[in-house]
Amino acid sequence: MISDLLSSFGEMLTPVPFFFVFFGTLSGIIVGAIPGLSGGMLVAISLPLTYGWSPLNAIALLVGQYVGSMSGGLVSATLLNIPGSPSNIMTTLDATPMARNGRPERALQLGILASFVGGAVSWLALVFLSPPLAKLALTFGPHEYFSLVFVALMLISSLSDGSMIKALMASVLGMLAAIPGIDQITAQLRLDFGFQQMAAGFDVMAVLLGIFAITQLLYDAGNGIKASERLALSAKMSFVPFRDLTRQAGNLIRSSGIGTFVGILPGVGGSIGSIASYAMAKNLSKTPEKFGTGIDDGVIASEAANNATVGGALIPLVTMGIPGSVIDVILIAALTLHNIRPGPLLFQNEPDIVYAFMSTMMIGNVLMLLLMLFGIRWLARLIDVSPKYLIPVLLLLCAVGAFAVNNRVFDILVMFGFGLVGLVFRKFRIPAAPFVIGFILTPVAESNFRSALIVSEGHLSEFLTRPISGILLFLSILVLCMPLLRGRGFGRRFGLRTSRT
Amino acid sequence: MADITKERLFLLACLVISALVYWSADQIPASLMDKFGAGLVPKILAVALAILSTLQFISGYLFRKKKAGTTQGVPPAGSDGSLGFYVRIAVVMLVFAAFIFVLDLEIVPFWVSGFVFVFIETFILAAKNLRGVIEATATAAISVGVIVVVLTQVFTVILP
Repeated sequence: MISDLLSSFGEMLTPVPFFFVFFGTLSGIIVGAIPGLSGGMLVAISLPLTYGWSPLNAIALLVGQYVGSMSGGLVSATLLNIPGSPSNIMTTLDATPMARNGRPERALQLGILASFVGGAVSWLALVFLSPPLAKLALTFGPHEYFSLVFVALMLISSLSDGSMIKALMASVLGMLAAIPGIDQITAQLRLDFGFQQMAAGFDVMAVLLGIFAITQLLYDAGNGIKASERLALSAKMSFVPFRDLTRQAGNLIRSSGIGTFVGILPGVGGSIGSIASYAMAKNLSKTPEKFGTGIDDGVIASEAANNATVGGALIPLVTMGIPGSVIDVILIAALTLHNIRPGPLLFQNEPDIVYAFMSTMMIGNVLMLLLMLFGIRWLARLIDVSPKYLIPVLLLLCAVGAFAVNNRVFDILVMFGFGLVGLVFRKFRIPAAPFVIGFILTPVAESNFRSALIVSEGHLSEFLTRPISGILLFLSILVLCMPLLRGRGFGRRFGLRTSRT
Repeated sequence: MADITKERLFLLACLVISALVYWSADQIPASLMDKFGAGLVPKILAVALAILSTLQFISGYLFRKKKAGTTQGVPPAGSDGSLGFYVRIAVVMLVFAAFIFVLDLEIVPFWVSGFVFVFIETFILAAKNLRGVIEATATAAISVGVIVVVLTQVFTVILP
């Protein structure tokens, strides 16, 4: 395994793949730093452009963007008090006060270093946990696989903001959106409602671009163009003393561990990781009253955790084909676009792809550290770019991206339609993450569910009597009951209550 | 329109969707797979959506009954509820829809329709004066030029 990994590093460090990792990380940092834009949007827009590329170059670009975008949001969170992405919300609580107290460079550097450590810890988890998990996944039959997908959908629904029933409705709507087209088992046409273009169903790129990019761009356009007051950085360059970091070693490792674990949970992303880590750091601190006033612990806890979710989220993706976060949904679409089948056999059939994920993640992590530490002044200027220039150009790029895969204007219409769906979701406070995860997992879930029924001759009880499947379904019931447990102080006892003010 | 009414309309829409899906799945001819055929999962999902919509309606009704007379639980008004917000979105959407329509008709090259699209959208979002016109023109010219060259020559993407 180590020799395969080193070989992958050697390959990704050659000029062409390295250029794509570099460009991906840099563009991810820039987009992550600009309020109103997100890493998911960038990865979704970039994906169709990689259609003619080799899979390794595509992975280099997309994973680089993933890593960069998780860290880029730190810049606007610190200097504008606007989180660049949801995973940077907790960062604003301490980074902004620290910046306003005359220490913006310290806030940024602590965040960058914490991001690097978080990424490195989760990378180690990715490298050492993936092989045994992949072996375990190979023992899964259709019953186990369906139950795993079911748990993933329950988990993302229970952990989403707002009403759990609405989140479950979003999952079901996402699954319904994946049904139109030709049935993969019987090859019968279904839910086309007489439209010829619906024979191929809704293209996954069009749906993802609509939900991730169009919704956000329309929302930003509706909010109007507001000038943001950015805190200035001092002209003199200075670095955080090393002892200040070593003092935070426990916080760094714990937060990285929390982020990695949260990342492994299917469908859960950086925002939950940083909230859990911040809450834990505050609960365990000897001076919890100082959180929110601009202390090192708060910045480090949030940033280490949100970057740690990247590696954690890649673990279920490479071992089981289950997305660990919403951006991983797009990475699954990327594999499919390049004729690579995600799932338990990925490790066995395409090990070079798996190791490419691992090596790119670490290369991107190192590049993120260097680019942000030494390029922070130029990055700070980029967040001044007005959305009035970006929104129209990104809308145009989205149209090109939706068209690029199948060369059909119908896909641009689909993208537009799902952009409106995303706006409706926002209006009614329905989370979009369960929708996209339901959409991407439906083919897998349906084929395994029906295969399981065929194998067991229609006996649903086999889902419960098979040990792994039974345990997974029991877990899904526990997950459904989590909101009740949270209400009874369970969350407070285990340090999971947040203290957002 | 009150939030309650909007939510009920949404739930009603979900019930209509579930009915349509169930009906459409029922039309699928029986195959060798019989009860495990192509219509099974759509029917299950349609029933699940109908049940969840009903549960959401009931829980929403019980919640409002409990909190009647108070403002607890009512989300605060924000910029995303104002008329200006919806007007801006509607205008941007109309222009985007017109752009897609022109692409479908294939009456002008992509760079022309793209230029006009970016120009209009930028002008909508920018100041309505000469400076706004200049900004919109420059943004459209530079962005479309770069996109056409980079996407066709570097990424070898086929444009609409």
